Amino acid sequence: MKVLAVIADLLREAAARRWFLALAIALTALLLLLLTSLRLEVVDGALAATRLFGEPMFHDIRPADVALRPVFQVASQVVFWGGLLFGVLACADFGPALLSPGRIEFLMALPVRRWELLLGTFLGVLVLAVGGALYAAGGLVLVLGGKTGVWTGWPLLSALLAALSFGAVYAAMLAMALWVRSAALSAATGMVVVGLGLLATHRRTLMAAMENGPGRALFAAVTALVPPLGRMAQVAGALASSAPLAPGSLLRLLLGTLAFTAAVLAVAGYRFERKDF
Amino acid sequence: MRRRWPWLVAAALLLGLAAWLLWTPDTLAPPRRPQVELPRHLRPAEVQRMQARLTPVPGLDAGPAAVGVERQDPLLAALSVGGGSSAVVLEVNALRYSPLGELLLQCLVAREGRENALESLRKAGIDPLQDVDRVGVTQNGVVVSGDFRKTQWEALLGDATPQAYGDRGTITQVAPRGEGGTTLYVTRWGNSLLHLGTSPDDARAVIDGLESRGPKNKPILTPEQTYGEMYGVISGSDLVQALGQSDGWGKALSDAASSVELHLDARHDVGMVADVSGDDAAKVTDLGKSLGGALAVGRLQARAEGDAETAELLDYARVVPGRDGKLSLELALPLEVVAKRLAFCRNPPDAGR
Repeated sequence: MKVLAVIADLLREAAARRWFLALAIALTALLLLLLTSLRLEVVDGALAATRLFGEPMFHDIRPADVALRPVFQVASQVVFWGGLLFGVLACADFGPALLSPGRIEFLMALPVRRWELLLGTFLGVLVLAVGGALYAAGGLVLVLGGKTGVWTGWPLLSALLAALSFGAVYAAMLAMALWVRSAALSAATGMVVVGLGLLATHRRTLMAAMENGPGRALFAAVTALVPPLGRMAQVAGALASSAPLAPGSLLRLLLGTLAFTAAVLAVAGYRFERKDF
Repeated sequence: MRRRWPWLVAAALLLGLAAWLLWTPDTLAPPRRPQVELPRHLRPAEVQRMQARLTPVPGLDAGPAAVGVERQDPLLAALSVGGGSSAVVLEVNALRYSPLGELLLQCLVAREGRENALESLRKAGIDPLQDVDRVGVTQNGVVVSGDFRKTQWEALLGDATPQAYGDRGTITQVAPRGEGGTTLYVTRWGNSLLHLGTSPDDARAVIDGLESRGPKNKPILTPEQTYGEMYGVISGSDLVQALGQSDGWGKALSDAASSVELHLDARHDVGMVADVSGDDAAKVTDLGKSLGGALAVGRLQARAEGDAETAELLDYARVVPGRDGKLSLELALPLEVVAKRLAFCRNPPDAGR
């Protein structure tokens, strides 16, 4: 319950920020634009014609769900990478704000354990990420589903995957904020983790191009630990477009990302427990 | 003082677990696409095949100015005789060595019996599986090309006397075998072309056409259209006749199409491209929508019947709308589906009794 209270506190703080208000307005405007300007003609389940702003768009006539796959795939990538970058920038200040003089002392005086504060902050940000991703993906599913009759839940699952990936990035950002109370450094850490995640995606190719030595060993060690965010994005795209996944591999990827997130949060917990306020 | 080392131990263990879990070779399953190349143009082997089939037009290749000698594909020339507007050609030799050909052969053997059909022809010196190259069908008869040098025509056509016609042709009138039958006119041109028809005028016109006598026929199919294991052009009027009083996409097709050019690749799975042309662009547009709908319904049916492979392959089926009253239908079917459809004819008629 105390964790829930911390989450609610963080959400209240987020609601007061313009970043999230702007995101909500932008997403809503985009969805309304699609809703009013896109006309899709479906004949016996096939997407036969499309008009955007009244202009016909020429495309192959295919089953509507097949025709929408690329749309959902692109949308999933926008949600994944756009959400990741927006989250890094917009959430960088939550950790430092938690530790700001006055507020942290006040929180410490409450009957809340330190790990509950840490977990509540992390989960609060995760709720924001999940909410944003689900709002974007769910809105698109509703708009396109209403126009074509194609109802699919895969884009929502893809959005959850994007939020989970952001969770791994935010865990590192939060841990850094516990060492150095700086929003800029927290954001920079997020960007570094995103970069490392991209490198981890192409780990084998890059290692094959490297010569043996300490640099290669260090690269191998670091990229083995970081979730391969590029692969996560591919999986999110594949999920959104109903493409097949290798059996069992998605579960390992998810559990691996969760384990990384938990490990970084444990490091953050170590730091938080020994910090004097 | 609080113990803090468990946090670090937990972090180390979790990082190890993460490294182990994230070591996954591939997350995405390899894409399953039909093993079919949709026939859209002549492939290199087909260009060679097409060029090998072109022979100088008799009567036009003489003389010193032989530069730019006119050449023709005799089978295509024979198909164009009679002013027809539809012709379909089966590349028998290519089909024979394809999985689809095997299935069709099994059908033929099961229904006719090897002794009745294939062996009879073999006894007459024609091995349909070796000697026949192509079979073309038009409204005016059937044209067969191949190597008929070893054919014993007497054994095949009985004691009917062939009449010589033109430079290289003979026409044999074969009387009907039963009452109410039709007289068959078997036209041979050299040892490589055979025309089977029911009209003596058509028989003579075929040889005239091949030897460039009389008015030049407008080709139904050009050599550049001879790609795929089956190809052809079907006119709108013939489509109406073939499809009859059908509903749905069949009716839309016969209403809108003035001609359909068809190409089929059967080297493994079956791929088909049908280019539809129509005089009324709006009707062709509606046809595209009907065909797209039929594909979507077919895919849903396959999924409902648990045929995931067909449903997946129908994902790749599409209607490509063109401009000026044209559209293209592209479709791939797995061999297993075709085999299932042909199962009825591969089983002997008395099977199960």
